[in-house]
Amino acid sequence: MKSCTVFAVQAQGADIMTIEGVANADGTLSALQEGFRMMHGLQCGFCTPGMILRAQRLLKENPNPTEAEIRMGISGNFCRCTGYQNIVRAIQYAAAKINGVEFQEAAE
Amino acid sequence: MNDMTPTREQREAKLEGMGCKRKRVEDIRFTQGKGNYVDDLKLPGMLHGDFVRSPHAHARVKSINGDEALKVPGVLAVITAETLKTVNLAWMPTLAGDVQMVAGRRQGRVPEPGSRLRGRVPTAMPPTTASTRWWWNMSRCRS
Repeated sequence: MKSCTVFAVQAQGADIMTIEGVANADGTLSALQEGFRMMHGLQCGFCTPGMILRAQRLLKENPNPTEAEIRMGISGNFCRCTGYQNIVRAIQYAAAKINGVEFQEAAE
Repeated sequence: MNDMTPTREQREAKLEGMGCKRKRVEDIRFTQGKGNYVDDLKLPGMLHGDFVRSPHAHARVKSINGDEALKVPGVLAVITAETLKTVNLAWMPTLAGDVQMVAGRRQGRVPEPGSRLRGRVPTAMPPTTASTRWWWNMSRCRS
């Protein structure tokens, strides 16, 4: 959900999760936050909250997405720094971690 | 890849600096919504500015009338090229006061005298105490 396309009143009664609430209860980074850091999924960080929350929803609905599904899933979010390669990898990293499997990076 | 090729871990264990993946310290805050961007800055007495841009790629600025903008609550000033002259900054090509020219191509639309265009008139900026949508009364502008 993009906050810029929703009136506050439309969210009445809803549970709202923002980037500030994504970290684990003990304060450590969530799998997605960690993935973005490990895979250099950000430069300036401006698009990161949207990317992480979008990815969180994506992984909830599809815990094991293909690269194409990830790219389609985040297609409504723009990164103007560098591109989407590392963002995709960050989400793949998080999916693997959540699923308890080893993250396999595509051959370079 | 043969048996002699070091793994990524082996490479990284030996490497420092160039060629070695570094974890960025700023990512900790950026991934938690704790970044601090220009829009987050709040300083004592800070004003917000808004730039008004020409609706025409090539036009002569005959006059700029900021009266309507100044009526908006919170608007403290309308700064134009005329204002810059009073502080010896007119030489800076920041605010257009005479000719607006980008591609040298005329645009067909000519606003009627006195017509109001929202937020798009020959360059000027009104500092406000808050981000304000405002209207600008353009008295005369011909392409």
